[in-house]
Amino acid sequence: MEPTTHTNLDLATVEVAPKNEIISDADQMPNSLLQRLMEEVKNDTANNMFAYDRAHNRHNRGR
Amino acid sequence: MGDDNWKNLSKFMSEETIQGLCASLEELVANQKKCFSVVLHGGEPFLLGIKKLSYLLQKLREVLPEHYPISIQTNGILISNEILDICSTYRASVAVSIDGPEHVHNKYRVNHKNAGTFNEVLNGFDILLHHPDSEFLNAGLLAVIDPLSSASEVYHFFKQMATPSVDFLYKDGNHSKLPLNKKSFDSTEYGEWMVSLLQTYLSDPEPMKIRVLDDMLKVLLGGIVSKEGLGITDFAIVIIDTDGTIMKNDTLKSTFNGADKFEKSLNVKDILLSDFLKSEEFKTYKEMQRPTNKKCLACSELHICGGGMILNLWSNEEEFNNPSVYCSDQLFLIKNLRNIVAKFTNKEYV
Repeated sequence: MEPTTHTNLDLATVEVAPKNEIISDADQMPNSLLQRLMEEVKNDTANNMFAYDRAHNRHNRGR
Repeated sequence: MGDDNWKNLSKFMSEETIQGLCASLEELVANQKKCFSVVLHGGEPFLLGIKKLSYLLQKLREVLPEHYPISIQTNGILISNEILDICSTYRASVAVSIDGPEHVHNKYRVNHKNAGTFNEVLNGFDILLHHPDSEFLNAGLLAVIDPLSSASEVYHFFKQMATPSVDFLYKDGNHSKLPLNKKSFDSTEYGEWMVSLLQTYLSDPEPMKIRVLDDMLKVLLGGIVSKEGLGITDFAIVIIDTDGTIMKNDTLKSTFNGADKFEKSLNVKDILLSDFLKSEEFKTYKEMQRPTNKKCLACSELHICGGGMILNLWSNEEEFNNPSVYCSDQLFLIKNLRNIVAKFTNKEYV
């Protein structure tokens, strides 16, 4: 019922998954969308429970 | 897609079930360190009506502090100011399901008389947009992708609706029952649609928020992801049916009849959720989120796609030990995301 970092995922996946480089200077990015996202990454807001509504996925997708 | 559990269920939770559920949630709040969220979904939650909705939200909010989100996923048709006032009182946000402009939405979303619901949904969303507490209540829109539609047209339609965010979902499907308008495991209809959406999104100088793309881009930028079925994030989702039965994620219903049932039928009227969350059966269910297929475990993009939604892994032969039926779509999208991030940041990502 809670999001947690998947730290104990199978070791194999940790080994093959390259760590992403963090772009430290958002001002260098000439795109407003990427600038916003970079700011959110820097401010660690990804797991803010209110950042986006988590109701999503409860939705009829079959048709 | 093959589920018949709904036939045995009552339409609404009884007071006794609500009491059992709330007792469990209260205990979880007291003893679980991390916050969790509660989502009312359906069917259609607003079919509860004013009185039952008010009672349910009141009881939930009595045990859930305000920083524990309560949210409601609705088709939007029954939204009224009276209903929104109740949601506002108990701090429950509202997300509306709409698939795009009229001809896209009405293609699949019809009422019992087979008439498209677009105008009713739009009317409901308009009430939500103009409610005095709209800033809190309006949690955005949710759309299911039709790969035959124009991603650009869908994007611009949502943007003019002044929504705070949109999320897009792939249609249900698996290896034994391919998603609608996907020709084969190797085809990339959904991935191509998403890339078209991405290009429109990036070219907008004042873009709205698209959660699924934001989440994937954030991972590429070094962040973490907040969406089920994406990234290396461990979610634990349990569903409480209207009779109080504890169930697995209801999206699993699309794989085979009864796929969302635990071996033992347990009910929140009889046990505490926290006791169930410590059980071996729950642990096994939670581990289903971790991909087991060799292709996934060796894939350099696993930390972005996470192996996909469990329901999309299913095949009648290998059960859940497959890559997602959307694997080709996701790899195509991720490749394009990487190229775009590299282009804008002048960094070598690929």
